[in-house]
Amino acid sequence: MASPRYAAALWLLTAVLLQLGVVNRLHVPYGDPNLALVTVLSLALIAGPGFGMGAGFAAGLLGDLLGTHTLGRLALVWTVVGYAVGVLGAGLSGRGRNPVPPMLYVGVGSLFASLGYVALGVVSGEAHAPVGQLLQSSLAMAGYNLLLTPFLYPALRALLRHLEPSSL
Amino acid sequence: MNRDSQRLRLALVVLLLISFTLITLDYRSSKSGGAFSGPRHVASTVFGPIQRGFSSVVSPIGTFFSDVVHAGRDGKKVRSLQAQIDKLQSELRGNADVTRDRGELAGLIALSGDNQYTIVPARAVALGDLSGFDSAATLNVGSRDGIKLDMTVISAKGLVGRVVAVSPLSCTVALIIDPNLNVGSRLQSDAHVGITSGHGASSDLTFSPTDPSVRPKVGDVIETFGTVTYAANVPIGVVTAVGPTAGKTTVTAQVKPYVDFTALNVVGVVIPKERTATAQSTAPTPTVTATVTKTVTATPTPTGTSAGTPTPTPQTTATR
Repeated sequence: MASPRYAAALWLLTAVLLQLGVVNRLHVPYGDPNLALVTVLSLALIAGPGFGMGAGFAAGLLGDLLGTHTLGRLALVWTVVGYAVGVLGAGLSGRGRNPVPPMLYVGVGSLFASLGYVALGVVSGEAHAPVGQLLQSSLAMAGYNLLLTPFLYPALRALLRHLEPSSL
Repeated sequence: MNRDSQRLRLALVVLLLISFTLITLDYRSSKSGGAFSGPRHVASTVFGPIQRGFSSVVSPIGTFFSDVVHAGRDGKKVRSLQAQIDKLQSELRGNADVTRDRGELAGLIALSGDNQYTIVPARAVALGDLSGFDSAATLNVGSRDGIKLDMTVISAKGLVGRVVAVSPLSCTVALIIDPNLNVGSRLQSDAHVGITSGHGASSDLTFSPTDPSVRPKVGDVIETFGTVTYAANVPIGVVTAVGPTAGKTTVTAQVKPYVDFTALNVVGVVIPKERTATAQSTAPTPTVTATVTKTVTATPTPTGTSAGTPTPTPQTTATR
């Protein structure tokens, strides 16, 4: 189990760096896709809720430490979403090559992740951009993440299966 | 299986409790500097060099993809740009590029407020954060380059933001479009002061004069007035609309920032000179202070690296 874990961690780290250094610079209309979140949710679907929540917490905490918002906000939301998508999508990795179910899980999971993050900020009274703008970015991120899933999810699944065929 | 799911739920609860604790502690201490500046410092110390290296490798890729993404939108501009290129190329032959570079640098120096400040040039190696909602940038300069917390960051066009975290090789800048940022500013025309606030990446800034009777006009320039945090006289943006705020007696002006935050690349961090130097520059009579300046600045020069002139005459010290 060790080598898939390292591979997943490395993948996640690369996703974080690509997100901050490249994707956020592209200024895609309406909002930015989120490679790290797609990775977390794909891991949850492939390897289960434990993996998903661990990856969500780790990536979220890293995002909190490198960001300027309150520490723990992203970690909390991504842990919950990683766990939930892992539980709800259990057994998905065994099923064939239909790309639609993982797309939906990642899309809906991303939407809840963004909305949860925004809600935490609004509830805790942090200064925030107009709510309409936040909703628009959340929807855009969910949509873009959904579209990225057919590319990232199979690649990640193939990698992890190649490393540890028995456990996945 | 049941035991497994129990352990899983326990782990979930533990992680959630950790997150809640972090949020509570960080939120409560945010007014007094933050309890987690240590861990944040460690994270940016580790990630600063990685991001620098990563950025130098992938920034051409990013530029390429950005060009692809915006190809449709920018398609119309191609013809007019071609005309500009032709014009510029003819100018290039006359060494106009040198003059232009000098002009831009002169602009940066002029922004730095008559030599009260030095500017450390930097490049934005990362934008935004993982949440997708932070308005921040990571620069490739850090405490080793003399960067400290709360320093002002500018570009040749105007105010960019404020340094909110520093590690040896990188620093994080909160951009002025961040909803948490309020900049002490004034109308350039009549020096009425107010607060300029950010409202997120796709909204303009707003300027609220502290005197409610003041009505900014469309086209007015907003600049910093110089506080402990922000350097003085840095242009922020131009007023595009003026209207009363709902439920408030004050007037609020929409301000379009001069800096294009979607194309942030080369910026400068403003480093204030020593207290003594700032005090002197405000002194109105240069003839009297010239002798004083010499004796005062003579002592710190050996420690400073800028001791390029070993024997400063009174004239050179006075002009600095």
